[in-house]
Amino acid sequence: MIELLRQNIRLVAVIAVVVLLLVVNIFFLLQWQSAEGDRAKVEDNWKLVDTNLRLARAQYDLDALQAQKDQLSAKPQFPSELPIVDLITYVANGAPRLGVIITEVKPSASAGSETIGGRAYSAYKTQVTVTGTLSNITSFLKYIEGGPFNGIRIEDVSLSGSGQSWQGKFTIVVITQ
Amino acid sequence: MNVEINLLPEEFRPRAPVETRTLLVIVLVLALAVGCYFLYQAKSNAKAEIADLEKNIAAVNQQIDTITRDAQGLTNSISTLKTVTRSYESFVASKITWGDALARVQSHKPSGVALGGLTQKGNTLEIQGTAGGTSSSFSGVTSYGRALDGDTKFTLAGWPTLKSATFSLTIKVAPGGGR
Repeated sequence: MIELLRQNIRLVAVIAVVVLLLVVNIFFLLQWQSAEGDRAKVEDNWKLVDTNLRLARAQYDLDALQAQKDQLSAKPQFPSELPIVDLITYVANGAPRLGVIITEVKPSASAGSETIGGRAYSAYKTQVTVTGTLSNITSFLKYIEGGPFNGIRIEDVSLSGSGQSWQGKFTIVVITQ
Repeated sequence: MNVEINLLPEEFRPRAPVETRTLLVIVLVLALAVGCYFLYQAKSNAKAEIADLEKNIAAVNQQIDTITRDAQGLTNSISTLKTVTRSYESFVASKITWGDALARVQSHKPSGVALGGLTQKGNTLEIQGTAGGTSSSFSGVTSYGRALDGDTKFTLAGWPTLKSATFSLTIKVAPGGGR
């Protein structure tokens, strides 16, 4: 048998090469088929993801949401922090202009909390005492309430006096977010 | 038995023709080799396409995540802004502008009535003062009370009191007019 193989060594080599090539072909064929199967799965996944993207774009209209946010942001709301410098300057400037004298300013030691519309906000209270005529004190209150500050309220108003001599006590409440 | 003797040197001898069987084997080997090449190429192309698709899928998934995250962020911001805006509108609607209210209280005051004190508690305002000092004192106070009650912003709360020309009137002030 070995002798026979030796005599037909070329034939054996050719058969070996053919068998080897066949094996390699089968190997690559299987790999290609497997890859084609994977590609089909990945293509299905791609279609799914593409559909999800279109759905997400349809569900979440970011431009519309941004426009809604901008619209809401433009509406008046409570200040995010206490406009302390602007407020005291505004109040201090208004007093001489409206003919009242501020005799006492007594801010609360700490900010309180107030629930408005179902949400808690910080409330900074400052008690102010002024003197002047009734008409001037009233104008001063109007001036504070009509100032460029959102979230300001006046409470605990108490005015007493007669003729041209009146004393007014009131609390300025500033609501902040 | 014939013996074929060829005395020509080997290099001058004509070459033996290639056998058909050998030719077929060569063709077969070449065909198999070409098959190998094309199958390898096809597999490689499929793998490359898979890699491309997976890259695109990852990119699109990231895009979806970004859209969802941005939308969620915007939705949360909108929700917060809605609450804040609603709160502010509620604050303004319930606010009483006392400067305006006190100015109106003074504008309705009839002659013969002098104010001595104005005290606010919640939405009520107690007005104290003196009225005339004669038999017309109470009519001056009631006239003031009527004038105040006739104002759309005020409602007279109960009877006015009068003692030795000193009167007291309590009114409820309607909210609104705030900013």
